[in-house]
Amino acid sequence: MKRYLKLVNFEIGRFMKIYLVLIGITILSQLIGVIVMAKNYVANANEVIFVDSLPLEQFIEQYGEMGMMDVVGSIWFIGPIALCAAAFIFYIFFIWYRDWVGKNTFIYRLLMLPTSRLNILLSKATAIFIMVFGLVSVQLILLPIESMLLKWNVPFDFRIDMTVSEIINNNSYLFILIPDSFIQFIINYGIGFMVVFILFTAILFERSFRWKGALLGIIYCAIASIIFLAPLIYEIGFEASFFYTEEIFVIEIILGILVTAMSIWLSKLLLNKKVTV
Amino acid sequence: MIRYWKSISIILVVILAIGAFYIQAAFAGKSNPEFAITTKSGDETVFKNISLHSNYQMDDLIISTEGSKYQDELSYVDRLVGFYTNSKIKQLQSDYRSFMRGKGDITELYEDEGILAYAEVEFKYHRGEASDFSIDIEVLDKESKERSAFTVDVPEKKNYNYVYINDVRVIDGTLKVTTTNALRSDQFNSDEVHIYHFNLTEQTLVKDEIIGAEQEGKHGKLDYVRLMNDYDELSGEKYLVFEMVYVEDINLEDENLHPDYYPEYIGSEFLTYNLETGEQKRIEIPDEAEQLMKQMRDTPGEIIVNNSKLHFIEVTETGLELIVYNIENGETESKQSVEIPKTDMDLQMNWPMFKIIDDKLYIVSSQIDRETQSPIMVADLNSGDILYVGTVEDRDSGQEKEIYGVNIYDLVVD
Amino acid sequence: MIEAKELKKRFGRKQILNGVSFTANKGEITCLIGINGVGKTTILKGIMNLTPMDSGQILIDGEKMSKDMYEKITFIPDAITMIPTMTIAEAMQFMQDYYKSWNQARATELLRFFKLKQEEKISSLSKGNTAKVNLLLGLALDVDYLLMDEPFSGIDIFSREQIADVFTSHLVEDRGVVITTHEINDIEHLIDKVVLLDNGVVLKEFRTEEMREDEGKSVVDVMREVYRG
Repeated sequence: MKRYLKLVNFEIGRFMKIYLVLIGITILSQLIGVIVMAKNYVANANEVIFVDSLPLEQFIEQYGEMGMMDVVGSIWFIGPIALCAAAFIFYIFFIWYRDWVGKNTFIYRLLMLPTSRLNILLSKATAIFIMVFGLVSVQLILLPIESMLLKWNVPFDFRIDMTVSEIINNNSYLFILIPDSFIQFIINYGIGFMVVFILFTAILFERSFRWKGALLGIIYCAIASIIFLAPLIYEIGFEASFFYTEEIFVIEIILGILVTAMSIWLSKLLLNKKVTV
Repeated sequence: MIRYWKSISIILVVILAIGAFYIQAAFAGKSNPEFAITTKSGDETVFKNISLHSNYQMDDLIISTEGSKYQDELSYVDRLVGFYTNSKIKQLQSDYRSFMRGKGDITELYEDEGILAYAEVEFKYHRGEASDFSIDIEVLDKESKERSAFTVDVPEKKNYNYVYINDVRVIDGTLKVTTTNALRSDQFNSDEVHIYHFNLTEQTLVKDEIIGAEQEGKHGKLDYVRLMNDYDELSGEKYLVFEMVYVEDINLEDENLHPDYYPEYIGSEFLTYNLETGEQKRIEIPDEAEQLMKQMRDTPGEIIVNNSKLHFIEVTETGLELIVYNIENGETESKQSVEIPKTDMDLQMNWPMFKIIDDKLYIVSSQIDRETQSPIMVADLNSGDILYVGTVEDRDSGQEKEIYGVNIYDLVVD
Repeated sequence: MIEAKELKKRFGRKQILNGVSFTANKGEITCLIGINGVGKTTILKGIMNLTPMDSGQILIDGEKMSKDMYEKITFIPDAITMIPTMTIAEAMQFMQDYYKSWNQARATELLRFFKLKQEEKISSLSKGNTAKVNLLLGLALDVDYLLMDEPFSGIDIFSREQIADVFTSHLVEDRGVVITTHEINDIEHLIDKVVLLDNGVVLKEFRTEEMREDEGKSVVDVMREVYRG
């Protein structure tokens, strides 16, 4: 347990620089985005109202009020989120392959640690989870700050004030990242982490059997997906609706846990018996 | 510990930010206004078992005399199952859980004291085209819990593009399925309404009749045939009533015609189908009713089949025009004007909903604003008098009881 | 004692090991000799469970390899197995974090002996110094067995001498050492036992002393005999 925690800390430390850069880009881009968009909006309002002498009401009717929903939908906001998402998808692979490639094959050291090799896998996964949650938290902290910035830059008559929940609920991708119900939050990230474990297993297949392993890894991903989606495949494929919604819900939870457990078990087996440096 | 400060601080930030967000969401909740149906005049009991499926500021809710139930107050699983699931379906699913598997469409169900019956169209779907239609039938004997099922091919199935079910009834051991079949042809009117008769004991198709097949058509072309009965009615009515809609007879091949031109409506005919005898009968509706029908192309209104009677309801400038036609004897039973106070006539703009419950006509405004005085009115079908008036109020907001912007989708009897 | 029994390993079409058996005793230096690509490294990786064998058995003091065994046996590969951005101090800290058998006093002694500065980054070290750090990280573990893969390859002559000195010192005494090499010259006088490998099998296994005393042959003499004859 202690060695596992040390490994988690170690993995986080190794990614820290890139992680901080990602957070920095997110903060900068989103805050600058709010200011730039607010200033543009106000400048446009001034132009239209004072130069073209359009009454305020008519301006609002034509251009609409400004609110966080405009900010949240802009590239300033989505851009860094997409960047972070891409970085972490890449990191799922990088976290393993960086230890194998090059002269300094750190994987020797990791595999020779006097601790269960499963701990290596779990610590890598945990590091990813913690850092993903960290990014989500940064976003949660940023939202009220951005709302405040917007308030400072756009006069009352021109803006729509929204609470953090309202901002999130009105935006489809933020709603996936931070759903309004905690159960949904657990489900969303539970599925995410299941996918991480499936990919880890596929990577270890490749690391154990190389070319043949890559093929096995892809096949494993397909099998895991088919198992997890079996009830939905059945319902859609046969155009039958045998299960009640609440039954599908329970079945999916069981299948999700099953697929995750299967992936971890297989990974353990590969790490202990098959992995080749 | 000091060496782990990076990880520890990330974890702390995560717990604080995400924790605070969800704890705040759980405890604070949304301060949703507590809307309730309250009785303004008349007897409260008429509002007791109705509820309004509505929407207020992006939140879905159900309003009843008890108060409001918001969608986001539901448990996670209940939300998954669906907020607006038909209450009749819900009840059947809990009573006959095994039989009701995969049967969620109320139009495909029939229920009486003895049996629960279900029909479904099966087909193959290939390259965007449906073919090979058959009808699956399942019957549950409530007493013996016995289930029987059989499948019968749709006769002349090759002729159809699609087949869907409008209604299912069982009379004396015969299951009658009303379907709309789209013909595989380029003709202007390509729909046929069929009633298939299945003998439940022998599990065979015994009859296939087409509604309005031998109709002459008044003037012009038959555009479509429509079943008028309430779609979530499971049993009870003696007649099925079909509206046959006629439009002007024009040559669609005519090149001078605008491609978007839609032939003009000429008139409707009504055809009743006696479920017991299987007799089809064209009915002559009174001229006034026909007049209403024409006006209703542009103004709000509705035609309701209830208790072997046809109810023509049209929204006018002063209230409603109501004509009740008795299918049994072919006579106009009553003709009333329902007076509605001027202040409530903005109702007309809001396309009200109508429902007949226990021989009373419920009129519900589809949008409730602070100006709306009487969002729910209950009128006597015979006299046209408004017996009861209900309103929707925000219970919490003490002195100021007016509300704004509640949209009503449906009036449901529980 | 490390016992390797009938080890077999195939990479693709190539049968690298085809039934290799030998033993290496505690308190002795055993040398696996063979030309490049003969599977010496694979054997060491096999002992450490870094590469699975297709068949055969490896026992260390009669036990199979397990996670706790890594406190008892260690492997020093031909390249350093630490993250290059770490300093030597950080690398030592890492070892101390995970190994009970880490002996910091000995690490400090080795640091002094090799004249290394612990604040230096691994990536900034010369080849020779990197090899020394690599050796340090392995030697400072209080383990019974040490496996070394080509400890002298690609290293300047002075570093070689320093490393060779280590073998005669108390740092290696009492331990079982298995080293691989494809050239014997530098260390012939150090080794107690030789295992000659070729074509995936053990051609000859002998003790250097006995060979010298009984037959009057040096290791190189035997090698010439075996590989040429």
